[in-house]
Amino acid sequence: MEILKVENLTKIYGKEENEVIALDHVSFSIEKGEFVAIVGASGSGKSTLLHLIGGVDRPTSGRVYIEGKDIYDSDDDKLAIFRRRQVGLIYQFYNLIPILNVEENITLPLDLDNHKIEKEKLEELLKLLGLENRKKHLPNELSGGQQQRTSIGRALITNPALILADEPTGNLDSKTSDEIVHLLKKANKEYKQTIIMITHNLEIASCADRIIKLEDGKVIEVK
Amino acid sequence: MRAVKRIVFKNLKLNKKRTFGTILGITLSTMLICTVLILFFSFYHIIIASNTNSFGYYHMKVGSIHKDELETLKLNRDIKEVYPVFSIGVSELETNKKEIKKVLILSMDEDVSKHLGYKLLDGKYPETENEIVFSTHCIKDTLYNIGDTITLNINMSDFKSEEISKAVQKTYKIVGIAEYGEGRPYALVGDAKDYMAMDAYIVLKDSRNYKEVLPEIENKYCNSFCQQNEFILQMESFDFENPNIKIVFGIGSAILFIVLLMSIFSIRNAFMISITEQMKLYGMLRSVGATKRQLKKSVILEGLLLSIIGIPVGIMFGILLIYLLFFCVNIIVGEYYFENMKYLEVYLSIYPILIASLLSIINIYFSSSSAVRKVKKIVPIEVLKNSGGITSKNIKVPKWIRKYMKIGGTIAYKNLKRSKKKYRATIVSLIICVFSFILANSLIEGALESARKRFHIKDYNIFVQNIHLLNQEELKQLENLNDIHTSYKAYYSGYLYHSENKSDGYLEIYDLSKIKSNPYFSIIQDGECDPDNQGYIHCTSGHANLLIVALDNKTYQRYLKELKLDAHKMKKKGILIDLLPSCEQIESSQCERDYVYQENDIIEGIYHGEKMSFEVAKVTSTIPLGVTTHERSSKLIVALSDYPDMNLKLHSIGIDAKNPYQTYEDIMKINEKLDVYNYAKEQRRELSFFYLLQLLLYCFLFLIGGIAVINIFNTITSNVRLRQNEFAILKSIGMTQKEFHQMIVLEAIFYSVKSLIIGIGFGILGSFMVSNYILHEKFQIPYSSILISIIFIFLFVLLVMHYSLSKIGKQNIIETIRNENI
Repeated sequence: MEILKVENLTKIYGKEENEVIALDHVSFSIEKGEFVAIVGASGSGKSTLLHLIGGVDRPTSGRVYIEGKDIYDSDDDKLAIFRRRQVGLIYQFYNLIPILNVEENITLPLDLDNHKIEKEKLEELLKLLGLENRKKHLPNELSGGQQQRTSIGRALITNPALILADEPTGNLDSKTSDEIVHLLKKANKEYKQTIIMITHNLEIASCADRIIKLEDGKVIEVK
Repeated sequence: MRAVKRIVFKNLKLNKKRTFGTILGITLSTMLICTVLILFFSFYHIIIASNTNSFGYYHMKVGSIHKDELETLKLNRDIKEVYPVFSIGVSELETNKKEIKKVLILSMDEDVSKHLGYKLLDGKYPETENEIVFSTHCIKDTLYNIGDTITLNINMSDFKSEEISKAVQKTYKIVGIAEYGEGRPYALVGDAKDYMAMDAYIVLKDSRNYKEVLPEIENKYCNSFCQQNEFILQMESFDFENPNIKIVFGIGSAILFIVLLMSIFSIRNAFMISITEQMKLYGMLRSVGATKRQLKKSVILEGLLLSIIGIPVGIMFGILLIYLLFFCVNIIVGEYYFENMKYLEVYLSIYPILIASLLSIINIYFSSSSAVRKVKKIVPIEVLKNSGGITSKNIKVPKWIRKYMKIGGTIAYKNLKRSKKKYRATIVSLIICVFSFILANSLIEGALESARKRFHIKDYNIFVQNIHLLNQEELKQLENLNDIHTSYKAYYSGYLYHSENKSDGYLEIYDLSKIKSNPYFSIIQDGECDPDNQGYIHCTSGHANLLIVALDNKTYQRYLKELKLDAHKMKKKGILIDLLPSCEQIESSQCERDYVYQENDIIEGIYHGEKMSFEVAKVTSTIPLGVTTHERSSKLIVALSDYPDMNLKLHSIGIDAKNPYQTYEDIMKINEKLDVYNYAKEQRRELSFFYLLQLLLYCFLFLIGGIAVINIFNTITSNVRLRQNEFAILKSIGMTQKEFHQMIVLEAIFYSVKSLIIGIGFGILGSFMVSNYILHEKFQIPYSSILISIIFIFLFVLLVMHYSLSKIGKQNIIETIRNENI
């Protein structure tokens, strides 16, 4: 079943002389439960593509369908609600809320939706992330790997249609990177979670079911 | 060092907004200190100048000094100047109203006359012994003018003496007209070959230690009398006995305290904001190997550069502001301000500028030092991770917040609890703003209230004395005047100054033991009072004379009410006025009472040959309405209705007239012998002083308010700017704009409430101290100021929050996150 369809997605930054085409008519689709890696050099448009799929930015032209619905048909508020229900975002720099502890950061998307938190599910997730003993700690008391695991937890808690990971291992050492990739794979397998991951690292990319390669804003290869 | 310099310069140049904000903070607080200090110095000098303009500038007058003594006096090491003034004598001048004016003729150098407040209005200063200048008061109602010749019979005995003896006839040419504060009749002649006495007016080198210096001079040189210029001495030595000046200076000190508090905080805040925003830069510098010393230098250098711009600009604006303020004030109330000074003048000296600069420099130094301490503590990686200042304590969010305020309220609450440091500056700003506002407002309200009380102490605007000199018809005319709204009448038993038979109409007290022994009163042989030393007790033929004053019913009832006496228990009782109004607080030999009578004692005496006795209901210094406050002598106040047969005559009336100027003229027409005072003019001047005070205090409040607003604005916008990454993350994981705004509003409400609670608490405490220790008024909770603070703080905080968020809202979420992570 097709969960994501990107159609002629174009993003242009700046105007006239300063115009930069970050994405140039990109089209592809992803099936439910797939683990896809997007690779490419710096400035090839990987992050822009990811942010457009996640609905945190708006394209210059083109469409993004998630579960058959064009996400850019909605206004900003609906888009925000869509994001917290359907998309889990994982950043290279974790981007946790500094004043919230691990547990609170993870449950934030549910809290935003006024959803009751299922204790058992949370405990299970914390166990999966290896953060059972760290749940009351603030982000500044955690290691990089632990912070990234928290941000994965925050992405997983709502059972979103898509998890978008923007270089999740870019800021971590190789051992911790392996742990994170392993975790993502586990989520992909155990929860049938669709994951799109941006990475520089071809070795990490090889763990994915499929690799999309970007160059100068265009898809040049889909394996 | 070169690298540090380069970075500081570049940083200031590139971050123009932040640099401007810090300079603005320094400028504003320097301006505030400078304005208030110049205002103070100006007021202080205006108060002194208004006095010296009228009465001259000197510290003590030594009466009747010998020539040799004058020379030794000039050599005294504590004395700066000695002005000799020669009294030539007293003469009589007939007016065209057939009145006789007694004129005191003086002689002094032109220079001395200027120092002592004599102002030549027309003509020239007399140069020879045949030239004379009259005062305006003197020449008024006479037929003389400049250029005329006048022959005067000059009596060379004492001015106070009733008879004129040793008269010398002299002819003068009138060369000018001059003016002197009191408006006393006097004349100045050029050269004094023969003079009656020489007085010396002394100016001290340092008047601050006058309490040690002047008594020494008095002991050595006081042959007849010495008179200290208490007003100038007290003003210059800041040793105020005058309660009004005490209050003015009390208010001044409180204002200065608030201003200093505001400015210290304003500068500190500006620096802290600047440092907090640069924390990442310092962290990076540390990580690339900058030493702590280098960082310290960069902070100090930054402070120095900013103060070089901020302080002079602040002082310039401060001076401009005060000129503008005085210009406006002069337009509004200038004409009626201090006597003999038509306009308020800015007194610009180097001191307020120096003090303001010094205070700002000290302030900047300490602010930079505390910023340096903060910078020195930097752990590079923590700063780069932007994770400092948050405590990981477990917070229980109250259920009502979770239930009613949802996630916005929960995050806002946690934010406030866990990152206290980030909010400290904002909260302290708000607290100081609320505290200063409440304090300044109660200061204003209190000052105005006590000013109101003082200015409206009289319930009448015309006061008429010597009514007993009127005949029946004239008395009728006076009583039938149309414009009398209310009147207060006093009936006197006798008129010592006007009666030839001195004891006529007084209660004669033969028991001289009832007179309190004091240095001013002595008894010579056979129980006779010493006529040369009887103070204020009129003592003749072995008995003291006590004046009886009866009041009409309305005036008497009001008086009883004022003294809190029960009217029913007052039948045939008297109230003894036997204290100076100022004596109830001050213990000094000059405040001795005349009699030993106490409450419930019986005063026995002979009145018109008959024995009479009065029970004393109270001894007081309070003078009833309708009785002159100028006389020092003791009086026994009774009700007119209690003593209808005493043959008391109406002596004075206090009249509340609707048109006091016309009524004054009308009364003057009845009989010129009447003493008529028009208080309306004085009230108008005092009222304008009251408006001026109000205007200045509100200007000050506006200034403080403005600075507080800018301060809070800076703090909040900087706080929002520093947290934009956090806001972007919240948005990226799906927080809607509405939820986001809700969160911000709740956050603003949370810390506004916290600041208001603390600020109002301190404000009430401050107001309490102001009313108790400065204004000496009854304390009242300043409800209106509290309400205004609450409304203002909520509105203002929300507005500023929305302003800064609207700027952030326009930014792209991803851009913001990315910029922060680079």
